[in-house]
Amino acid sequence: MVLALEAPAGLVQAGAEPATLRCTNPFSGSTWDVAIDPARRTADSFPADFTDRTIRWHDDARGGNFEFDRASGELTVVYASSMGGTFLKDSCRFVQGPEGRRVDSVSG
Amino acid sequence: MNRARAFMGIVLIAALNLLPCVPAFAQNNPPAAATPPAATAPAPAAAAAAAAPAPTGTWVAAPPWLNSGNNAWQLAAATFVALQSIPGLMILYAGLVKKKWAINSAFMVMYAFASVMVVWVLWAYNMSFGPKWFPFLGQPGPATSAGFELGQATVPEAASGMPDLTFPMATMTYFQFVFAAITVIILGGSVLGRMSFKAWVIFVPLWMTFIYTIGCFSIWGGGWLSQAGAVDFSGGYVIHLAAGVSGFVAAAVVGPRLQADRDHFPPNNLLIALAGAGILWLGWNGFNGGDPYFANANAAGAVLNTNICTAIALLTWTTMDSMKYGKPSIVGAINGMIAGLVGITPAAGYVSGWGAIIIGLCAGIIPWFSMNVLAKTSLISKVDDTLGVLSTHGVAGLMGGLLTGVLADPNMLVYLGTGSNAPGASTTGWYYGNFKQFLLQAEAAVFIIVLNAIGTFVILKAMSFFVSLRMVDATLQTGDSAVHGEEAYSPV
Repeated sequence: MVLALEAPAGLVQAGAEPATLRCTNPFSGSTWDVAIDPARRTADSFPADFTDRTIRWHDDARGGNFEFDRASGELTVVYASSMGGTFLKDSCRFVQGPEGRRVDSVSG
Repeated sequence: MNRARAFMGIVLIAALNLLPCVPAFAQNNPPAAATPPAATAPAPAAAAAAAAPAPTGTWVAAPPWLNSGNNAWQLAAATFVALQSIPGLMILYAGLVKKKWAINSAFMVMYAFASVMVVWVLWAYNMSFGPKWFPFLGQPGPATSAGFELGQATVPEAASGMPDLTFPMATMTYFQFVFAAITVIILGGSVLGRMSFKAWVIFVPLWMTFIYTIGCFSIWGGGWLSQAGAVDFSGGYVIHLAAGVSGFVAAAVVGPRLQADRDHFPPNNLLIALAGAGILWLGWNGFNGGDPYFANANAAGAVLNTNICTAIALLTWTTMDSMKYGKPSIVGAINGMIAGLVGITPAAGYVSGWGAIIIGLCAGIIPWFSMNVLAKTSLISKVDDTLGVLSTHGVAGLMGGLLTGVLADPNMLVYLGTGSNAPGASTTGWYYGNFKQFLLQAEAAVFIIVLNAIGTFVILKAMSFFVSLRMVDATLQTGDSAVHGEEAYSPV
């Protein structure tokens, strides 16, 4: 059995291991995972921009621009509509690497 | 000679209308949209065996994705907006101008409506709402094939923030056409009473192709401003700020009316102007109520907010007039009404009723100040903006767009969302803790202002090498009969 060991987002610093970002919608409680791969510089297989403060990517399949704030753990999603953009805010934290190991360092 | 020049003009317009679609026929299908229902295939001859059951085929009125209520509302809303142009603005302009310009002003509106229709379906719709070509522009292509018209509507670059649309592309194309048409018609209010009709004939398709499509795709078509998060519910920026800025620049480049007309330009028929204003007000129910693309709760909220804001703005403007001039002016009331309609346009489905009241108060004061104080300063008054489009549309649109960034209420959900999309699509303004939205609105405003100021200037300057932008003084003194051979009112 693999336990999801949560690491506070603020502790996420340096390293290049693949990791899983678990996000929660505060209104519905719905959760989902995002695969982060600093070595390949991808998020959910989409090209991502890694900085000390944020991870940003665009979902080419469903649309939407994603920005994860490493310090606050807030994920901001901007979806384009025909009236302009729409923002959604989710709460995320790193839970584990792909083999179930605890992750306390992710960046690029 | 005149006939030859007229023929050359027709050839030029036809070339403008047809050339860009030559390489683009391959794009004449809705991107990623469902195909229209196929006709039932004939049964193979072998199936006609004696033992085969009787045919059981049926007719279905519409494909499964089509919602009759939404489609009906969208077509009705589009027609309301079309009525704002013809006859709304047509008779509003005709009534507000000096008697000798009634026909020319009305005909400028009618020509623009027809011209934009052609440009829109041949290439401009897809430049505004089609697949991305550049971050600020879609790929040109016609919107005319059977497959395109009857396929399920979609805005490919802006689909991530919306539910699947439940009406055909034909509905979408027409709904967006009436917005495109009214934009250049509003712009025309700045150059009434002197712009050459021939120049107007050429200017409309050029402006629609090179200016409107860029602003439209950037904010509404899923372009870079939309992707960044800037919002414009129904066109405070895409339509009114664009028309106000372009109109002002056009007024400066074309040049002023005759000084005698600037000094004395009485409305020739205020009652017909009032009728046009009334059509404009109620037509705005389709303008703002149609933009969620569904006959949903947000559409109803947008319609109510539109009327709240407009009423407040009209009353505020009239109060300002009374305080400044001692009398409540009906022309002032029309301007106040328009400022209120324009001010709420970018915000209609994003703000609550309280937000609409605040925007209404601001729309009755800020555009009034622009028209009655700033426009009369020596610097601004050098530009002859005939109907004050810069104030009632440009300033009101800018004000409304910025106030959307302040007052947008996150509880005004345009669409409901479940799971990771909960609670739904909305916008959060500065007042509710999101200062970034205000900055995004300011960024979008700067882009629209710069695009329209430079683009309109370049188009008109380029045109001026081939055609005179302003009528000659002799024609300006006569008016309609010299330009069209017709007059609004029979002398007999």
